[in-house]
Amino acid sequence: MVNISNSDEHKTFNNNTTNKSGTIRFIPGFNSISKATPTVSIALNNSRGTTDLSITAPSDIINNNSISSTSSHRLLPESTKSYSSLRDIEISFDESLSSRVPNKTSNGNINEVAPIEFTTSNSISQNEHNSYQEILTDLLSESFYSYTPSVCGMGRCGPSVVSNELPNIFNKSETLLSVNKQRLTRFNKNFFIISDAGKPIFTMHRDDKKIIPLAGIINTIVNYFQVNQQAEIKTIHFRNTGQKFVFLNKEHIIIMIHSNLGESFKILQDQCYFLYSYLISTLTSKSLERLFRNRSNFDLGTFLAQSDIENLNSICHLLSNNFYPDIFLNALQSNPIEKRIRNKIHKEILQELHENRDIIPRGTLLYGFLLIGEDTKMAAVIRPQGHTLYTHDIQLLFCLVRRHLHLNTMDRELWIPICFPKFNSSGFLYSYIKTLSLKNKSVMVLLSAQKDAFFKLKLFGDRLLTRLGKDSHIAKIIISDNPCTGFSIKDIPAPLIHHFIFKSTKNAQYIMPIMEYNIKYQDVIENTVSCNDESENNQKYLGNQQKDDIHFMEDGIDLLNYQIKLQRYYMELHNSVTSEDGSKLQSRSVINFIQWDGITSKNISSYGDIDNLQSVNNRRIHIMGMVWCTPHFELYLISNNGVSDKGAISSSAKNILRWCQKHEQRLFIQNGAIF
Amino acid sequence: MLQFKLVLLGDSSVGKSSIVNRFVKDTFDEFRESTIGAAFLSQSIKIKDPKTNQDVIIKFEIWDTAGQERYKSLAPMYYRNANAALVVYDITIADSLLKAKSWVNELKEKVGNSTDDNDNDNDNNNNNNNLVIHLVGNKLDLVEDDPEMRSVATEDAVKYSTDENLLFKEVSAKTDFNIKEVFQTIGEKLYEIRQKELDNNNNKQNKGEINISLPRPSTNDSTSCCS
Ligand SMILES: Nc1nc2c(ncn2[C@@H]2O[C@H](COP(=O)(O)OP(=O)(O)OP(=O)(O)O)[C@@H](O)[C@H]2O)c(=O)[nH]1
Ligand SMILES: [Mg+2]
Repeated sequence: MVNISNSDEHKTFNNNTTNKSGTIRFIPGFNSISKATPTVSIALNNSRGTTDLSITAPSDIINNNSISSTSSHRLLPESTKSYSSLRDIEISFDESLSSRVPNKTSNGNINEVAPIEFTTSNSISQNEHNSYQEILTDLLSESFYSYTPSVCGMGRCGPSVVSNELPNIFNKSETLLSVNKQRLTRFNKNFFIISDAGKPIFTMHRDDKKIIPLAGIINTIVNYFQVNQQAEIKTIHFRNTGQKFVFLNKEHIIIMIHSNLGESFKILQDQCYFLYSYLISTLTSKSLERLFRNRSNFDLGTFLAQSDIENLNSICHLLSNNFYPDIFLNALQSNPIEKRIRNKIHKEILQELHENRDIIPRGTLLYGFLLIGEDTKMAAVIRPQGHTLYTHDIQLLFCLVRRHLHLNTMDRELWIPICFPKFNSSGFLYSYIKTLSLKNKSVMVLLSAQKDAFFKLKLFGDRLLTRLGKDSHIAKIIISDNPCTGFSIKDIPAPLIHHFIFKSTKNAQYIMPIMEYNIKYQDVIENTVSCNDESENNQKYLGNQQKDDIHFMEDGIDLLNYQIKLQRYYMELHNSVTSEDGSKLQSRSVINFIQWDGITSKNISSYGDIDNLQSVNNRRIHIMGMVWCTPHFELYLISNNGVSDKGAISSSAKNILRWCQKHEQRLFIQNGAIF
Repeated sequence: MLQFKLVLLGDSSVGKSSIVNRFVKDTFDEFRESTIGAAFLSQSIKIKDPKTNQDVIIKFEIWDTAGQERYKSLAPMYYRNANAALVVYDITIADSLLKAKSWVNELKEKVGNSTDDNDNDNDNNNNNNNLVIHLVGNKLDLVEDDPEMRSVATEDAVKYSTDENLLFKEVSAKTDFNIKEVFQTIGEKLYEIRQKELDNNNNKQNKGEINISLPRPSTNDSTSCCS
């Protein structure tokens, strides 16, 4: 089934009113010119007749690949006006097509336990978490039941082993970067920005030959719905492949994301909006408007600088093959720092501000951040009384900072105009960015609304750093090359938990343990599966648990692969408690478990062909994840491989919650330096 | 130590950041990202006082600006208080010299006329009338490999520089040809101007005239010549 939803509100489907219901059919056909080119046509039927929009595209559009094509599209007759009030469209997918489409290619099977939901009162204070735990325990005791065995059949697979590895249960090509880095994103996710005149502006993977017809298709689809439905197309979903297309139509700009990676529509829409926001942040909506005024045909693609293209590219990479929970959590990552030291930092900042009112008069400094790490974890915040910036805007800023950390611009201080779309989409703020330690990746960011405030901010920043540097504890955290912040999963009495994310809703911040991943895991899969002695195998796995085998944050493909896996697991956990359109939780609390079963084997590519695998080559994967959302926090966790005891997991979850609440001041920035 | 502000101007991708990078870090990246906004760096050099033959340390505070047209409105902020401007073009791209010329015009117009410039502070009286402009034709290495690639003849640029009273050199950030020399020349020139000013002031004071120069804004560095 394919479904297209084009309503703003995402009403339920089948909103049939007499005379106004319609069906869109995707009919794979063959273009008369080229036999190899099937046609996808969208046909709208109603009592008054049929109109159709036909798009010719190679099978790529329907199977896993990016839409790439030569397009021949035609918009059909005026009679379609009758659809103007049709808000939701049910689309049926021609069965003949599905047979040509590979089934969802997952090496594992998601065995999703029905969400357990409960409501609680909205006013749960920190101290009341005990009652939470009781409720949780009650619920869990009710919901224990045995799982159906894994898809691949217990008998065939080797015994699962409890370990600290995080295997990949998703289709390898979907989530893992192979040597050929291109593949993943190329075929599983792509981003398109076009102008509403159909001119390509940006695509993640530049292929100029393909982008032009593609821009035409995207534009046609969007226009089709505008003209014929007076509605905006939002999403297209190929249910049997899991493929999703999400559209964002802003004035002058259309953004489309295509993904096979399992994100919900809401997440993809947020990502569309994030790309759009980037354009605003670099141009302002005002100049965007000016550029397109009287020139609907304006070529923004060539107007954008190489740096914009690369910023967009790095954002797209962040959103597709990286671990970037910030957007779906709608939160910023905080850097855990001992409470005493964090308070001291904030106190020193205020003191310095106070003493320097002559060089940095009120109104000069708008906001400030001390960030640590490649993933821009917040160590300190400077903000005016009564004002906070939007998380969304700050995420854009941090993306820019990430980029500069990556570019290694340590030796220079930057002065960069950036527009914050939610704060004020028509004007720039100016950001002073100074890298404090390249190894530690710590950065100071000071924002001002005045474009010539650079030297004032610089002077203030220099003095602040001198002051902070005098305190050896602070210096250690901010300036030193040996970061001693963050925490390990081992610091928490949470047995069997591999990794977790804890978000404090109040602070719009999240934390997670540092990444410790088993670098040898890959080797184990690749090299030892051919070993015939199962027990020896197991010993190796268990051996890997030893501490010295664990490698901390290291650059390279291993880390990236690990992050991609994490992203995918967390995404599915998140999806399990949110509806496609993102509505969730609000006043409700939810606990849900997901169990991922699968096998890893040498023949990882021959998934679905289990019969051919020899049992010695297989190893069962059995990962359980849990998500627990309340109005006050969100906890996502992933168990070690082989753990299937919900009781154990939920008791660890409770311990994590307790620990996070106990250390709240250390983990999160409560107020920051408020001036 | 004397401190001077220097700004780099010129079309996008002519190699401003590469020149700065060569000067400050002595490295070169084949793929350097276009600058957004501007970057601020500093680097010190040593020159010899022509009279006393003593070493003098000169610290450059450098603004590496973005060449992209849309950041043009920010440029005045960077050149307003500059002591020197390095206007860069790419000798393989004729248009980039036109752009450079328009920067030179703008500098002469805006910076020469300091009364125009009173929105900021009491710093109008700095030595912008003595702004040192150095024209630089970059990417010389490209034409050494392939003379066909040259689009701006050396003689044309020399003539223009003489007419406009600019310093001029062809350089290569990639092969580090003439880069240090450019900054050395600018440093010496600025030092010369500074000495002359001091002499003038002394003379005036000796004649009993009042020194009317306005106070400079306070900075943390008392040796700073301007901020
Ligand atoms: N062959 C050669 N290439 C150079 C030289 N200098 C710079 N480049 C290259 O030219 C490109 C642009 O250089 P940048 O230094 O980024 O140019 P820019 O003037 O700073 O550009 P904007 O920041 O956009 O204003 C880069 O790919 C450099 O590698 C040079 O001397 N020789
Ligand atoms: Mg540059």
